[in-house]
Amino acid sequence: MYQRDTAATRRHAVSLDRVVNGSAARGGALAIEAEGLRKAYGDVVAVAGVDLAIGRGEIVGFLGPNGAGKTTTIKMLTGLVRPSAGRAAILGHDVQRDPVAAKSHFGYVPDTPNLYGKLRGREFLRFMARLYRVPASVAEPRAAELLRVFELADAANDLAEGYSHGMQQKLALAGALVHDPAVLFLDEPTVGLDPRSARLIKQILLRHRDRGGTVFLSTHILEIAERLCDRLVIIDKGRIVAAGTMDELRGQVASEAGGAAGAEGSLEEIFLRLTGGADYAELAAVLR
Amino acid sequence: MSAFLADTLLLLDLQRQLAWNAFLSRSLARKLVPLVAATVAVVAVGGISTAAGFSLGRVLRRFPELGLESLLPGAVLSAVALLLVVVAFGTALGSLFLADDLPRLMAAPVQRRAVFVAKLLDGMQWYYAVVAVAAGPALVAYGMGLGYGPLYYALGLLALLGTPLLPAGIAALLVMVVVRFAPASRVREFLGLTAALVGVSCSVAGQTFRLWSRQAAGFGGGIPARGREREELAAFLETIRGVVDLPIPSLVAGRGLAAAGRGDIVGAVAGTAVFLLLTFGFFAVCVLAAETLYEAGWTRMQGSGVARRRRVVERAAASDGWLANAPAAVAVAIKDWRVFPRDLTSYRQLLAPLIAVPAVYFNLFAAPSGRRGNVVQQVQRLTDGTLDLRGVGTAAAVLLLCAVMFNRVALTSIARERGGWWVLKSAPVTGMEILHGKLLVAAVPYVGLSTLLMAAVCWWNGFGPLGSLYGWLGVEALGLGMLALNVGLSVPAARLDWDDPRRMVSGWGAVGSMAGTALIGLVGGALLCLGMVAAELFPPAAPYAWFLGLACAVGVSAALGWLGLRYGASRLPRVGEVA
Repeated sequence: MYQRDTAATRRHAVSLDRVVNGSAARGGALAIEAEGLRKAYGDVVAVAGVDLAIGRGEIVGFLGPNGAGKTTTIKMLTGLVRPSAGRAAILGHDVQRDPVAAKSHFGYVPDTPNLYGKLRGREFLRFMARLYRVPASVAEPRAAELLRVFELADAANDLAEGYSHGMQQKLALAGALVHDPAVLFLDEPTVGLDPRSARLIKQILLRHRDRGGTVFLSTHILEIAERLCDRLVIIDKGRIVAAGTMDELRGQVASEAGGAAGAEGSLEEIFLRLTGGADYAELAAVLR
Repeated sequence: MSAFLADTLLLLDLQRQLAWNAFLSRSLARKLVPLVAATVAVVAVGGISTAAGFSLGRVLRRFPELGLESLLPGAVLSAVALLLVVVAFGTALGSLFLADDLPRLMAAPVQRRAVFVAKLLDGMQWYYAVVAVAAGPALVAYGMGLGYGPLYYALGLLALLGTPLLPAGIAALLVMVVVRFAPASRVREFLGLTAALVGVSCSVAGQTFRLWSRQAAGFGGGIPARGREREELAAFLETIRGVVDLPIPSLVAGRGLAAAGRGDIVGAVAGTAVFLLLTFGFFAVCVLAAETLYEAGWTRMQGSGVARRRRVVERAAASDGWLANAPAAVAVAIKDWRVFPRDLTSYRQLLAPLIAVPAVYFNLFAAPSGRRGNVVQQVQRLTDGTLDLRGVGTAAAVLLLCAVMFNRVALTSIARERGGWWVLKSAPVTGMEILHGKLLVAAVPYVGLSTLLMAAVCWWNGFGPLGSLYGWLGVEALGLGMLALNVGLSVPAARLDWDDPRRMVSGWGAVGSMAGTALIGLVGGALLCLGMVAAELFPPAAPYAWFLGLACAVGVSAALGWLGLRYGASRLPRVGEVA
């Protein structure tokens, strides 16, 4: 699914200024910033030069087909994977050069919430609070509140290995929120969640945004992206192929397709056009 | 029936293909190492088996009046069957309840009976390998030693073919029963701990037996009267004959083989036929019973595991008390101290290295009546008693005991994080903070245990306070350096995707740990003995030499430990990066 780094694909890269939002223009430090972020494993290029500039107080959806480089990009932004080239910064702190300062400002929930199975839910939140230097006097009530909000209070004293996937996902998100971060990175946060929990998470993210926080989330559920996100970034074969609000994306696709996807174009149509998925209609017809 | 067979064959072929692909995807070194190890094991076990069988055959040929010809075949087949019950229990537990592909297979349009049988048969090739290597050579050599004819070998082959069936069936049935009462993953942890305990117990028992034997031989309590000895021997032989005649399938096979050897065709055929009937019959009964329980057990495990476990473990999470605002390194240590005792695989790590301890202890301090005496006695003899190494030996033994236990904890520091590594890696903590926390995890219990042991042995041996303090400082200085070095090495050596605790660290990581530990032990130990050497060669300088030796040992240990930690911290960003 990864792509070789060729000159042809480089032409599709979207320039930095297309994803800068209002707060950046006001001169404040960007919540998330990436310049020429690239990751290669030998000859295989997973991410081929990603530029991002995301301001405070917005929810940005990160979309792309399987193997497009979403998770690798998020891992580079969070310091889990070292980039082969380029830089990333959180609130002005370089993730590679000043990792402790950068990491103290964000919370992260991976696509697979591997937690410590032998820790109890409450113990996990206490551990996270202490890793992020939250004073105990603040951490204890906050952990209790998060457990209550995520409906985990009854299971707070159980080992995490006994939790269902959805409960583990919620505990991971509670852990990411325990230090009240300015930026949240979420990789497929609603996978495996029941509708009630998914709605809860959406409400929490909106609340976080309303309080001035930034959310950067990857998802395959386009309905969530369309309804929840202020801005969308679409990556394909390791490169960002489109970025902007829904209206901006519609405009971009319409101009490229000569008006085929107009003002009514859904995110699904836009996504398929930008990532080449529209070609699969022929295949679907054969299978029918 | 044909659909069942077709499904079973399909699943067996899938398993063969998976195993083959997994083998092909390995690097050349990882292909060769198991092959070489298997060859060595086959040669060693097969050699011992052959030698034992042939020797016993020759002995019994000289004493036909003993009437114990059926002893070895029955004993060998019984021992292998017992071993296979234990092995097959673990295999059946893993393949029938914990395999990743089970949900997919159970949901696929194949007969569930076929899934069960295919999973059950998956380990059979290994059981037959064990039988072929451990029992086969012994039976063949035994027959050669007794000069048996071809009938013995033909029926022996049938006995070998039938032997793994009964243990496999019993193990499957046992798994079904056990899983009804405890979660499969917990049972696997418990099984691993039990295996480690049995290994350590066997090692300690073996070493203790050796010591008792030496003491008994040395102190010689008098030879029993000849007549009494003969009576005891006769009673012993009668007991063995009674055991050999028990109606256990493997012993029945042994009697049949002995009859074949004697040329008693009726007895031979009858014995082997009864054995095959019993083993196939028991296997069929066990498989049918297990199959009935399997589907219910598996379905129950999918549905009610969470609720069931919650009732069992529900308990208030203890507060961190005054440590609640401690630095991040302490938070990492507290997290590990909470997790460690709850995970039974952790105890395996602590116990496994203890296998070597009795041998070292007995060679250092015990064996008082051996020809050469123990190491301490030998050194005293070489120096005409002027160099007393009792104190050095005591400190070395305590250091060794504690270091082998906690070095393993230190060396697996990062690997223990497993899938949860992202939590630490994405947190605002430095690499050194993580490694300091990991060092605390191993160092605090190390200091506690070594201090306790040093105090106990120094009091027991009546050592003076100054010498005891010196020894204790040496043990702590060298041990903490070893732990720091191993924590540092745990970073590049870490494997985060382990299932088997023995595969938590890479091979070179284990070798590096041994080399580094030995380096600190030998160099630091030599420096700590500087005062002792000075006392022999230039007594006035002895007090300075003691102090200088301790300072240098602390310096060397601290330097190597610090270098290890620095190296580990520099490699930490690479952990968890996969292509």
